[in-house]
Amino acid sequence: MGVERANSLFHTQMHWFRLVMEFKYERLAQKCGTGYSPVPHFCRHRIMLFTIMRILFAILICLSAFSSGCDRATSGQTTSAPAKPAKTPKFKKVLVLGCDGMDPKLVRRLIDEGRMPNFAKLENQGGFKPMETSIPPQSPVAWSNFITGANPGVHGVFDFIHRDFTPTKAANNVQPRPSTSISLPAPTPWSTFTIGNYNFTTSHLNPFAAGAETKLARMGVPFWDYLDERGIPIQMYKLAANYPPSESKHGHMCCLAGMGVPDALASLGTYQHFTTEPRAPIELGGGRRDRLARDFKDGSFVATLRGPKNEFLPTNPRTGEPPDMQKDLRVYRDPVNPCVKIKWTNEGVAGNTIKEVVMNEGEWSDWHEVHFLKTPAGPTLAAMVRFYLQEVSSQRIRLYVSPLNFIPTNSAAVISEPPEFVAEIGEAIGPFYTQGFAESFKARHFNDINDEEYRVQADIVLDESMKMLDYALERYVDGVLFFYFSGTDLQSHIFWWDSDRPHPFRSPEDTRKYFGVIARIYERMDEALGRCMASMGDDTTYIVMSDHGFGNFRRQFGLNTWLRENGYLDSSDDVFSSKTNWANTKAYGLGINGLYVNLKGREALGSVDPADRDALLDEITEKLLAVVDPEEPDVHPIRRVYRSDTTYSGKEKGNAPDLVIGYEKDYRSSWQTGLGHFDKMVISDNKEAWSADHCIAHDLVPGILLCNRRIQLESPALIDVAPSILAEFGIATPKSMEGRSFLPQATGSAP
Amino acid sequence: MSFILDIITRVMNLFGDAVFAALSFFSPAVALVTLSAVIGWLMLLIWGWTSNQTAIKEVRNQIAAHLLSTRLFKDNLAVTFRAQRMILWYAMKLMGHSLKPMIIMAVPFVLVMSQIGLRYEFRPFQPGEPIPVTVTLKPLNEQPGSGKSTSAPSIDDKNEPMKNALVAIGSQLKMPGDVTRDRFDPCRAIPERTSDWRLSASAIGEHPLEFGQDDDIVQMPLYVGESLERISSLRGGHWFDRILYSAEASIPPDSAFESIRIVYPSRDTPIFGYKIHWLVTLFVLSIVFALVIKPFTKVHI
Repeated sequence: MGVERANSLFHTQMHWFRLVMEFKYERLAQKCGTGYSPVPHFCRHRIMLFTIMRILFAILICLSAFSSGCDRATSGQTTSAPAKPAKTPKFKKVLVLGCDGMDPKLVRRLIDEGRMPNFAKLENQGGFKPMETSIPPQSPVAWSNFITGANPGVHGVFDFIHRDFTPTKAANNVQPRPSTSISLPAPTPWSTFTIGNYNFTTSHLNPFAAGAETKLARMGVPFWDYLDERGIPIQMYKLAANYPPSESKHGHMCCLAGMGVPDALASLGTYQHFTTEPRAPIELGGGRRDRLARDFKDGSFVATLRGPKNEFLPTNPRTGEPPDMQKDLRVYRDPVNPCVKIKWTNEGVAGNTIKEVVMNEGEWSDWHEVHFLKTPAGPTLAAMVRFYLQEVSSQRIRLYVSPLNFIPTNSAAVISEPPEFVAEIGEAIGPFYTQGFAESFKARHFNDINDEEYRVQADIVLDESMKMLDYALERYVDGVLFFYFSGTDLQSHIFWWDSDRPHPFRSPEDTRKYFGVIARIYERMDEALGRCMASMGDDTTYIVMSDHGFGNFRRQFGLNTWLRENGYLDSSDDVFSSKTNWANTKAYGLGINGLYVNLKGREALGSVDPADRDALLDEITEKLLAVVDPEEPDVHPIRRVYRSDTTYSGKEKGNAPDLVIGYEKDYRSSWQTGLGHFDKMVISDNKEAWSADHCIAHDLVPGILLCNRRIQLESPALIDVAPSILAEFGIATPKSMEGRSFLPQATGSAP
Repeated sequence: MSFILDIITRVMNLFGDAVFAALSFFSPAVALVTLSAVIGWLMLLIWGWTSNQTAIKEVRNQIAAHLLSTRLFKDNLAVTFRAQRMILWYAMKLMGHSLKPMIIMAVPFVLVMSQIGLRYEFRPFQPGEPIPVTVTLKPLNEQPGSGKSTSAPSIDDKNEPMKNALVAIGSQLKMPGDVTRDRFDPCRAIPERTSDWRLSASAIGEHPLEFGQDDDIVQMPLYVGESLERISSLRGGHWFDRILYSAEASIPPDSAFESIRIVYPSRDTPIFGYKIHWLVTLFVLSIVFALVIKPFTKVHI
């Protein structure tokens, strides 16, 4: 308001200024003898008024400055959350707490043990039920079910990994790609030219030129569209399967995207690990290992942090890609104490900034900005990292560097709707993990960090989420508030083990200890719910939900190897390559649960006639269900095989895998299957740290549904949540949704 | 040079302390606006005293007259072009007349700015906030009592004396009871000749930190709290440091210390709800106030 008043006053002043200038012209004309008349009397009043207005303007500036600056300037800090707007709620209040992977069995046990009092309170007020998950029970699929209130045939997300439909004959268009977003390359520029070592295109000179683009691949109508068009506010934090965030058509939706947001390398999270041990640099899917090289000029060590590709540099003819941008981190080791100082320079067009961080052994740093200058004249890519000094001694150093995350207040990618929403959060709570998969499970998977280190890192993520939740509650007035927690899933993948059988590598004590970590996270979810209840009051509808539950992952099934052994897939290579005989291949596995027929007219090198498809699918289904584990002959690793043409409905079902494999508990597809690779054996032990999973038969891993109002459905499903939210605002279930509301519809009009 | 600078900075520090003591009842934002008003007024007065007001008045009249002629004779291209040329000429004359007062004002203005900067560039730490402190030693051949090496030692041989110096002198820190240090402090980077501490203070106030030992002791105060304090983030030995970081005296030339740096957080002084650097705020507001006051002073600018 202060600024508006100042503007208004400024325009008034400008009006008077023009009048006085006219008067001055007259006076000067008189002096210069141009024959103008003497100063009219009314102009003197105008001068006086003009002076008074000047004084008033100055006073206004002072008052505005005082009112806007006094409170925060006193402490000099700006990190506190903004005060809760003093507004009266216009709409109903609905909270949806999404706890990814929260398992109903463990929740039941902890409620019964009295360790989740707020969950218990909700159950007593309304109810608690297992909630049917998606087919397959994978998070992108499940959260898309939640968002659209419809099955995957409508929203088109069938797995973490889809086939890339881009026609490339050599590989039979079966390359994997992420399921929820599609990267589109920049249009071919009109012309290119070189200055020094840098390549420029005409697109670089045109600020309006279209660049490379990432598009949301999830289809269907999200539930918030129906609320948005009625002016009902929706705030969503870290929502999964919504990157890039879909647009708010009427401006009432704010959304920070969660799972699916990449890091600054455009990957799902690539950490870097440095050590003085002599070892060759290695690229891992989601991680990079490098050596800390000693600088023999001054005795310090240099860690070369690798950034995104620099499109201004010439393409490497071997890789077909431009080189990575790099940043040298200089690491100084203390001669006595177990600590290091890391120093680097952030180059900028206007000048360089030297950054330093001092760390003790076993310590995680705060967030630190790292800037990559693409050309001497810009642009700069700014990202942020956390360091973790694992070990330092006179003999060696081990240093973990987190994936390069976007800086919330200066994000290089649009990760929220509206785009400035993420900056508002960052201003209020400071930097936080922006990448979708914030927990560094890849580093744990590749054994670059151990169980305890992973637990600490995941707790940092959870602490950041709790801080964000506090901010969300401060900001919330009415409408829908959705908040997502990832720790319940990504910590469970590593620490869950509820079997009497021995864990692949943990001692029984450690197995119990780390399974206890999951219980502690569930307790923190209870704490989060408690904070919401305290802030939002009793007139709020509380829904706590999870997308699926959890199970042990003890044995892995190599689907492509099984297909090869049974004569459905002909390849002498361990990946789909030129050695794959597609003419003799009837089916192949891609994605965690997907099996595709090599269909003529769909696959570029398809071999199966569409008329033979049904018979082939029946045959494969029968054989898969009959498979037994050679080490446990009474166990069938595959519990269900879903036919997509009968399981799904909707216009996207044609893109679904032909079969979706539902594994038995303790089993899952092998690590190689997901990307279309082969294993040495069809069934083998899973010896990875990732020792629990949920990508199995959907009836084995239901999610949870907890509500302070009576759940009217006997067996609620994920697709029922969106209609229930709409029902709370008096909106009947729209035609785009298949679910039914588990809550009675409030009075209101149908869409 | 150093002696003169010392005198000037001491006087300015006393002056700054007196002014900010008077403003201590206000919040930093209010104090900054008040200072802008006073500086705007003083700038106007000095301008009036030091400039050739008659000449400026005449030049401005000429500019206005030629502006008027462009308006009156807009149909006559020759007159319009001539008027524009004369406007340009008189504008340059006006700049020439401005040179003298600007040069005269520059020195006191910089000194005043540095005093304000000492209070507005950084804020004191909050209790419990991590406090990074870095001590840099002089190169070995510049340290008191050291001789220049004639051989070409290996990296490790070359590092050994600096390592000893850092361990012996650069690692000595005495703190009051309200200040605690990180468990592995200090972290010494031998090639950088630095020792880094991470401290934490539990109480508000000025806490003296004492570095070094025996007869080579250098002190630097650590400020914790919320008030406007005269803060220099660096204490160095160079005369340039004395100007830029005038709150602290120079490190004696016979000391082994090159500099001591406490990395204070930047102070945000929001104006109109926006975070604007204090220098921009001061510059804009002082000009606004000068323009407001101008009609009462009859100064021509």
